[in-house]
Amino acid sequence: MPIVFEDVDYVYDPETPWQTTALRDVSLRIEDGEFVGIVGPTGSGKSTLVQHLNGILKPTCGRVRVDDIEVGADRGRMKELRQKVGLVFQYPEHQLFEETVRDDIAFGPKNIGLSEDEVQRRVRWACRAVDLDEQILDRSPFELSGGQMRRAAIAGVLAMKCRVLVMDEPTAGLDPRGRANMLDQMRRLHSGGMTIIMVSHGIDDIAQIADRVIVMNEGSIGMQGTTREIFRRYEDLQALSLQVPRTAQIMRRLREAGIPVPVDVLTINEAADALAEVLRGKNCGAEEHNHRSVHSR
Amino acid sequence: MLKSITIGQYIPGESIIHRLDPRTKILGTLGYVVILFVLRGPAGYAVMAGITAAVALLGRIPVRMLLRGLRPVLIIILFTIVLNMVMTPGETVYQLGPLDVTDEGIVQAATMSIRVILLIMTTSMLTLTTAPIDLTDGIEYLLGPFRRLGVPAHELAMMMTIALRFIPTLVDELERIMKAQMARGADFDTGSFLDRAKSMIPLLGPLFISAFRRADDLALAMEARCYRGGEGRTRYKVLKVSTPDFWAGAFLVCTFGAALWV
Repeated sequence: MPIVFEDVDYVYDPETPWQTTALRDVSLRIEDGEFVGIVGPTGSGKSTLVQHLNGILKPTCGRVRVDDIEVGADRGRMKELRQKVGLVFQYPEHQLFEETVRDDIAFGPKNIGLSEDEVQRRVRWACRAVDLDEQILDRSPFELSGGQMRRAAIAGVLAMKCRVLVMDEPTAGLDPRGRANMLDQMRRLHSGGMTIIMVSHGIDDIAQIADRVIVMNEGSIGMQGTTREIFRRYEDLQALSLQVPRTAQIMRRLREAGIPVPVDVLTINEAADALAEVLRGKNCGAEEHNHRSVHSR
Repeated sequence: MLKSITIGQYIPGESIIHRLDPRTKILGTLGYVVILFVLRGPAGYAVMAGITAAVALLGRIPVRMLLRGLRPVLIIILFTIVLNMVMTPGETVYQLGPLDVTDEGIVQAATMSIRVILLIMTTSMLTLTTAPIDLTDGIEYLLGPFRRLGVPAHELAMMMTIALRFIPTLVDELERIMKAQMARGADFDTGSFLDRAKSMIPLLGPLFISAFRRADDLALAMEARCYRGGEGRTRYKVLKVSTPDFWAGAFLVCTFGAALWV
C-alpha cells in the first residue's frame, strides 16, 4: 500500500525566535515498488520530508499515511511503522556504537524483540545484502574502512526487514567506486521488491537509478514527474540552482553546436547510443573515436 | 526537549542592551548579584526587580524566554520555599502536621525565592543579549589583571568560547543520533530506570566519538593557523567602551545605591 502526504506542513521550534517552516503544503503519493529520487537545494526540506516517513517527525498540519498507519495519530503503532520503513540518515556510520559489527547490526532486530536465532539470521542476511564479508562481523566497527562502516550501518537498518528504504545522501563522501557499489546495491534491493526513496545532491546518481523524481524548493514540491520528464526541464531546474545530469549537459552543448542529438538522455550508455545513432546516420567512419572522447569528458 | 537549555543561548538583536560593551554587562550582572544577596527589605527587591524589567524591556527580550530559563530550577525554588517556611524559627501562623509554618518563615521563603528568580532571570539576560564570543572576550579582559597571580586568563576564555560554541552543535548531533537509533527501534521514554539508563549507551557512544573527532579537527585547524595561545595575539574585534556604557554604568550605580538605601 502506498505512502500518502496530504497538505503537510512542518514547523521547527514553533513559537520561539527560531521558528522556521520547513515544509509547506506538501502533497504526494509514492506507490509500492517505486524508486523515487528527491532532489533540491540545501535547506529545501528534503531531510525533513523523509523523516516523516517513519514517524520521527510528525506533521504540524496535514496528514501522512503509510499503508494504514497515520503518522502522528497512531502513536501505539510507531514500532510497527519503523519496521515497515527503514531510514538511513546522512553519514550513517556516525551512529555505530557496539563493540562488534554483529552486535551493531543486531541492535534493531533486538529492539523489536526477535528471537536470538532470527536476529542472527537477519544479521547474516543484511550483511550479505550490503556486500560485506561475514568475516568482519566479529570485528569492531571502528576498524573498518569508511565505505565498509557505511555499509555496516546500512545493514543495521536493513536488518529491520523494512519494505520501504529511505536513504538520505547515501553516496555523500564516497569515492567513485564506493558510489557505484552503493548504487548497485540499491538497484538490487529495488529489484527485490523494496520501495526505495533516495535523497541526493548527486543529480547524476538520481538520473541513473530513479524512476521518478520529486524536486523540493523552499519547503514545497517544485516539480515532480518521471526522471526523464524532470531532467528535460533544463531552465526550470536552473532556476532552482539545480542542474541536469552531466550527460544531458553535454548533449545540450552538442545540439547547440548543430549536432542533432536528443537532449533528454540520463546515462552515459544512453548518450553513447544516441551519438552512435547520429554518427551512423552520417555514415561517419570515426565513430569509435568520437565515442571515446565522449566517455572521457 | 533538548532545546529547553537556555544557557549560552543568544538571541541576536540590535537593541541598546545588545550593543553595550560585554564588560559593562558582565560587571553590571556581577554587581547585581552581589547587591541581591546583601539586600534587606522588600523595597530593595522592588528596585532590583525594576532594574531587571527595565533591562528586559530595553533588550526586547521576550518574556517567554525569561520564564523558560526558570523551568529547570523550578524544583529548587519550590524546595527553598517549603524548607524556609517550616524550618525558620518564629511565631507559628499555621500548623501543618508536626511542622510549624512561621511568619518569619514565610518572609524568608518569599525573599529567598525572589532572590533566586531574579538571579536566574538577570544572569540569563546576560547570555541572551551577548554573543558568546563577546562574552568570553569580556571575561578574558576582566581576568587580565589576575594573570600575574597565575590565572590563565586567555586559556580559560578560549576553553569557554569553544565549550559554548559546541553546545548547540553537540545538541544537534545528539538529536540526530537519537533519531537514527529511533529508526532502528530504540526506545528512550519507556521502561524502568535501569532500562532507560541502558538505552543511553547507543546515544552516548556515538556522541563521544564525534565530540573527540571534532576536538581533533579543531585542534588541527587551530594549529594550522599558527595558534600558540594568547601571547602577542592581536584581535580582529577590539572591545571599546562608548557613551551608552557610561550611561548604563551610571544608571546601575544609582539604582544599586537606591536599592541598598531604601
